[in-house]
Amino acid sequence: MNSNPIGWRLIAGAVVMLLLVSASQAEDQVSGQVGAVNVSARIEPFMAVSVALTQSGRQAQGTSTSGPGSTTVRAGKIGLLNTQPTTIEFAALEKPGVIDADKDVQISVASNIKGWSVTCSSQGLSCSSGSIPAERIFVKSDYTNPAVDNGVGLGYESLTAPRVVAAGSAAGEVTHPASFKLNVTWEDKPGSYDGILTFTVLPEP
Amino acid sequence: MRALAIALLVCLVAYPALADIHPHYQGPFAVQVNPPQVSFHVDGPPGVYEANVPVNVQVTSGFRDWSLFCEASYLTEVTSGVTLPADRICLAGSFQDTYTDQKSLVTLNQQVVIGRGTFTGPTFIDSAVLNLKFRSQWEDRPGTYVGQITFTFLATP
Repeated sequence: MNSNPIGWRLIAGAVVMLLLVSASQAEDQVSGQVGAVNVSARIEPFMAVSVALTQSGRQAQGTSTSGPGSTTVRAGKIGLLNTQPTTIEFAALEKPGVIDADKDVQISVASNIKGWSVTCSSQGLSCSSGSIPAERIFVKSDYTNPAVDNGVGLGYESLTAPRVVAAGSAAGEVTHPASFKLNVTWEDKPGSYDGILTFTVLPEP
Repeated sequence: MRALAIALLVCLVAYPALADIHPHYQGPFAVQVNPPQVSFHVDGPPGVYEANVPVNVQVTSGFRDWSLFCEASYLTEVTSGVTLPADRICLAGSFQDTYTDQKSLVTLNQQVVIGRGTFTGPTFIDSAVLNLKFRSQWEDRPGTYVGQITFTFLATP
């Protein structure tokens, strides 16, 4: 083995050189940027709103996405929510007084808009024998004044004017409950009174 | 003498590799993308929205082995400066699965292989057709966002 040390060193040197060459060749790659595509994405304001009913006195059943009968509203337009047939009833079957609605209303809103609100309004109830003005329909929500007392219960505000029943300041999906009461007097004639509760979406600019 | 002869022989064997230390670049690598701009119109709830057109990518290569990648930048709203992450931009399928699974989305927040090949000669050849998607979320505020998809290559001369 040691008969010709110079020769062996040369051989070893050559082998090392080969290994180095192979290694450098394996890593010898070229790269660079060769092009680009410009991208633009226009995201429109969007809201999806649905109204559902629950038995009076129950809490909202979590958040709700827009489902059958939901109404989508573009920002800048006022959304009139006439979703699936949703009827609440005030059963004034005995003496006059304050009557609870048989169901609560759950207002679910999903939006990519920074700020929005939903108001509730009514033109009152009517039948062939008479009418009940909107001022005797009351609503209570997370956004009505909890200290107000109109004689029908704390936090219930009269629908003499549209009342905010839901609002949002961040994107996402939220659900707000609203409860209703009707004040029936001796002057109201017997009959089946009908009316409409209108929920209006107001996207903020 | 015998050892010297062996050393010389080894060096001769190594010579071709030695020549490759300074590779001869046999040609450039270039990409043509058509069209050079795509747009998305998100006019509904969160979901996946397609680009207005697919992007056709053509390549000419003088390299014997190359890979082509693409990657998206974050998107910036033109008036407010609000940004969206690059993972909003996706590809339907990928080169790896040879576009067999069109339902899967590959986000472009990192480099994704969209093509591989060898010498092409001087003419451009079709390399990929990109069906770009935008995946919106409720948190994405309305507005017009702009960004860029860049193409890079990695080649072995």
